[in-house]
Amino acid sequence: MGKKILIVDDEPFILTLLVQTLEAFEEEGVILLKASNGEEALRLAQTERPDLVFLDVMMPRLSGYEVCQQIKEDADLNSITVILLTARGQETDRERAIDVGADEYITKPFDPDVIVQRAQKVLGIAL
Amino acid sequence: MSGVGQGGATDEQRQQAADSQQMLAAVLKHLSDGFLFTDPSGQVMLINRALEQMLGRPAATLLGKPLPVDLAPGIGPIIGQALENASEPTQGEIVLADGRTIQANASAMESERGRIVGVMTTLRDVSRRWAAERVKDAVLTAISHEFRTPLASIVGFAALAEKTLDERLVPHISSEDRVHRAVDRLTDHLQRIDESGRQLEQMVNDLLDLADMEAGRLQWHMGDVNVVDAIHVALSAIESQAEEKGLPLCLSLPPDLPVVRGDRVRLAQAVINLLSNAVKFTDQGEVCISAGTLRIGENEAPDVPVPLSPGDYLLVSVHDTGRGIPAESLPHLFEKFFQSQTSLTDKPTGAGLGLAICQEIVEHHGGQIWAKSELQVGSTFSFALPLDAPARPAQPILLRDLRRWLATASPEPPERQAVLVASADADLQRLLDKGLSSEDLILHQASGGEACRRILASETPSLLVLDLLLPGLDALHGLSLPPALLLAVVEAGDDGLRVALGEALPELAGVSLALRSLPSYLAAAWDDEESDNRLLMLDASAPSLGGITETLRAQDFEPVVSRHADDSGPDQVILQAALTLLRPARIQSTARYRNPRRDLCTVVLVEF
Repeated sequence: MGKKILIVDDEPFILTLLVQTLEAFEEEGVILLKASNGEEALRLAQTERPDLVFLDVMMPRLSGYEVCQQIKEDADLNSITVILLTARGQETDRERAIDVGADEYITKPFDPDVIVQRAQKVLGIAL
Repeated sequence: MSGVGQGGATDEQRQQAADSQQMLAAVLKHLSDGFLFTDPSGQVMLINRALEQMLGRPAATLLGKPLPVDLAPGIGPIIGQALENASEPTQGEIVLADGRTIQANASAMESERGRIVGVMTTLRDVSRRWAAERVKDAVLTAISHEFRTPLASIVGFAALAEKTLDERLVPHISSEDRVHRAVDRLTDHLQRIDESGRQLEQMVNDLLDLADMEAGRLQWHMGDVNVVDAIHVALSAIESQAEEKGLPLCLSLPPDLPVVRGDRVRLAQAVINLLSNAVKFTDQGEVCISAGTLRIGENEAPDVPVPLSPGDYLLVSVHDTGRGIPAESLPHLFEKFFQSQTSLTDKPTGAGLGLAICQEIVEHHGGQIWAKSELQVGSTFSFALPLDAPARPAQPILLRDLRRWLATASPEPPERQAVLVASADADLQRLLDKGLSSEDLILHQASGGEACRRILASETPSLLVLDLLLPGLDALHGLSLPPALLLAVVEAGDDGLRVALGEALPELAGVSLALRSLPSYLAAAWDDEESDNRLLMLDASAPSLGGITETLRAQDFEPVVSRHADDSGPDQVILQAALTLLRPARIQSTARYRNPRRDLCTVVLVEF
């Protein structure tokens, strides 16, 4: 079965940027899923079971932290690798990312190459 | 006729004198600053309308006697100093009873024969300026946050476009010259967007860093730092910038530099900022960085433009052969947003925050930073970090909480605020003394309950830092304590660090707390209809908590007893002191995260 990456950001530009950054994976049979809010992200995580989630933390209503925590507390989902995209390298963000069980976090603005490298590592695909 | 002529001249003189007196009266009347003239014995001779309004008293009630002390506390010494040192005006700030901050400028007035006839004092209400500064800082921080998403877009899409162009298009385009030129040009444009975006990003980061440092929100990771490492990190960060300008970087380090206590990343950031400035303002010659030790003996005046107390220091200097800094700019270099202009054609680059950040970093390490410069010859920026820092580092959590509390709780600038530290623990006293002295706070210290009581009888500190292990704590029972209170208990951990267990209790405003009657305190602090009175109690096995749980139930509270922080969304958390040794910050943040109400407070219980 093909691998899946779920990309979550409520900022349309950033979502597009992330999707286009990861588009090269589609040629390797990877499916890219998009969500623009926390609820949608959680639903897609449950129905699609992605291998990797890039998750923005600053979203209204259901924040990325909450989504991450719910994924990690769900026995069926907690094998999903969650990479949080935090607003800035602030200590509280870092601590909170660890608290909610995130596998990793990348601070915004991010370098597209870093996103690609992380995805390669998690999915075990060399582009 | 000559008599008439003389008489005419006298009239004219008289008229002139009357005119100038009228003019003076009109000027004083319409002056928006308060104006006060006192004779050498301190009696009020003249008060203008602005000052009448400022003090809320008609001039008639104040003339001919000294200004009542309670009306303008602190003005006396300012006027006194102006009398004593007649050659220079004296400046100072005073606070009126209603909290307004007044800036006073006093100068002695001399008669033609050099006799002092009195002191002129102008008084200006600067409270609004202070408030405006605060708003400005808050707005800047908020805007900077908002910049981040569009910036991520700009930098990200530019990088992506460059990559697409390079990997997907270039291999397929024809060999036609015009097309190649167009592609080269596009690549160049994208690189410029990327570069400018990153510059902007750096400015935003600097602004947010500085805001965090100033507010005490930044967490410092203090450890043993080999400054040579920090210098190498900085040099490699700056290499390409220097190479672009063809500037050689040189390094001069003696062997065996001592290790200093500090935050490695932040110290490197300070060195990067200094090197980056040096490269930016130097067109030819070189940029050199050196480090060494500096000993300042007792009674020795060091050859530096900053006060350095006797002791051993680690000295780091960045020297350039650049355009130099005009002497009048030197005192302002470390101010936020300051840009020194050496010529009319110079355009400021950057946000003018780099040096302010350097200063924050160096001062956080108990050090000093300064600059020396000669126009067209070059500049040297140096900082000195104390090597004989106490074995126990400043405890960041407690100090951070204190600063945060002081910043949010009172509209007063820090130097108007008094803090009373009541603890018998010499280490705690020293820690706070050191940590707060840089804040220009007025610090009172008491090492027992009785002493604390005496100070409270005459002073009204903004904050009482109370060690619950204070001997003679009983003396405080029934006293009306300052409007806020920090329950701070410190214990030595295994690693020799001190752990702050307490948190500020902002809800306590106006509530007087009898320390042993916790339930009534909770009821008072909790007088909130929306609250469902949920209370998380940790480690209820302790006998005291068991008893309190019962009492609280009887008072319609809903105590949730747990050994973990995240079992419920409580309104308040009661921690057993021993338990909080684990990780108070984490327990707090988890509980807060669960309960977005910001006013969640933690009460730390200690047996006594």
